[in-house]
Amino acid sequence: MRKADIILCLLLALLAAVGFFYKQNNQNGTMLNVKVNGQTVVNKPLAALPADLSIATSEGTIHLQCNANSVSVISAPCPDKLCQKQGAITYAGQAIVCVPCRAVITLSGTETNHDYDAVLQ
Amino acid sequence: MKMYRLLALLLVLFITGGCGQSEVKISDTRFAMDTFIKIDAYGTDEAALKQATNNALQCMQQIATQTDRFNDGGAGSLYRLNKAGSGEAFTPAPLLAALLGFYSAQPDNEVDITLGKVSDLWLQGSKTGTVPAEAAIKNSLLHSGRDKLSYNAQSNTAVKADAALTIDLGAIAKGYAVDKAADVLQQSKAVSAALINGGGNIKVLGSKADGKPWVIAVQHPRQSSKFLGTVILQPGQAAATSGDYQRYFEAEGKRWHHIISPQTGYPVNLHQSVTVIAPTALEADYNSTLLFLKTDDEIKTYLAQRTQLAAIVVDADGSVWASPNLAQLWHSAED
Repeated sequence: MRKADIILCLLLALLAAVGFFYKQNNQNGTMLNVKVNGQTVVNKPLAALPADLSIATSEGTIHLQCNANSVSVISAPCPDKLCQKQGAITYAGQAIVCVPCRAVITLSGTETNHDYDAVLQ
Repeated sequence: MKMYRLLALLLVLFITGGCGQSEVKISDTRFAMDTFIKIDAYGTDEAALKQATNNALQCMQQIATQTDRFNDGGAGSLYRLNKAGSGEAFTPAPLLAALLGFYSAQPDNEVDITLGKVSDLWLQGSKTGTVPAEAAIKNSLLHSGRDKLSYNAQSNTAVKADAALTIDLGAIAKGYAVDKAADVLQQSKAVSAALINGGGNIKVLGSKADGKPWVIAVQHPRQSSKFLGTVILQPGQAAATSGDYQRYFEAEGKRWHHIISPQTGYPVNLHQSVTVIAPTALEADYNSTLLFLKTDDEIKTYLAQRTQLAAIVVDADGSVWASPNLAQLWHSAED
């Protein structure tokens, strides 16, 4: 019984540790989320995306430039180009919004890798 | 032996998140008021949270409709007020009336909601990349001025002294909408904490489950991938930023942004950005525009008389300063 108990303890501890590290790994890296008209069209780690990313919207195509830890709009069909003028965003919680295209480009990361609740832009 | 099992079980429970009904976070978004609005609401009842955030966003949409100067929002809307003739008694819809009431009670001459005609010129200029002609600006200024708009709160009547007078509520409508959304969220018992973020206006409600304060990062006006720093907001407080770095265009080697002097009709270049922390989002919104149009000395005098307000200012030369009452709450990224 004692041996079985120890094995059980070790197994449970191992399970907990695996779960813990799995969670940590899943939260690592900056994620890019792009929504057009409220629908998610991209939700991937920035590192896994091509440098040039095209996003189709009803107004035309938005071209994004993705780097390891930042994203920017390099061209957009909107008349005001506010999204383009914004430049690159780097931090979780930052967003580039193109109102005419109804597109929201957001970076997200772990809850613990930034110590703020929102970005005042 | 059972003790080991119990300890092991407790270990697992501890690592995987503890016990009790866990708090959930609901986020809802909407495009309205020519911007993107996001509400994060915290509580334990997911369905009730969804309902509350949806109600709050609908409320904001109502304000958007009533204060939209480009699309007809129906009887009592800003669009209709802008179409009203000179001397005509106009009855604004309730949400528009509240904004007109707030504005007419402000003594400051710098923020002028009647500059719609001038703003139109700059809006057109931003589309073509050309600076409006001086004569056109002067002519538009003739059809603006806060003395040409009167609002009587008791009779709820607005009267324009010039039929061409065009009211633009861009300096205050978003802040007001954020406050009204906060009111709706507070009416729901399901919401224990919330953050409303819309077009440069943020308001926080309640305390987060982890007991940590609300921390807001403030965008650097020249480097989009950087923050100026972070500021702590108390529950119920709001913050708003006015800046020259989002709505602007470049022409003739200069930056032409959207915050216009009512005296000259041209953008004011005293600051790159002004962030104001205030008890309401409406006050934060209004005052961020107002302070953007004031000199540093004027801002300091103004804030000294209003301790409920605080500000973070980036001057035209890029230097950053914060009001003394933010000493413990503002953490510059440069420090």
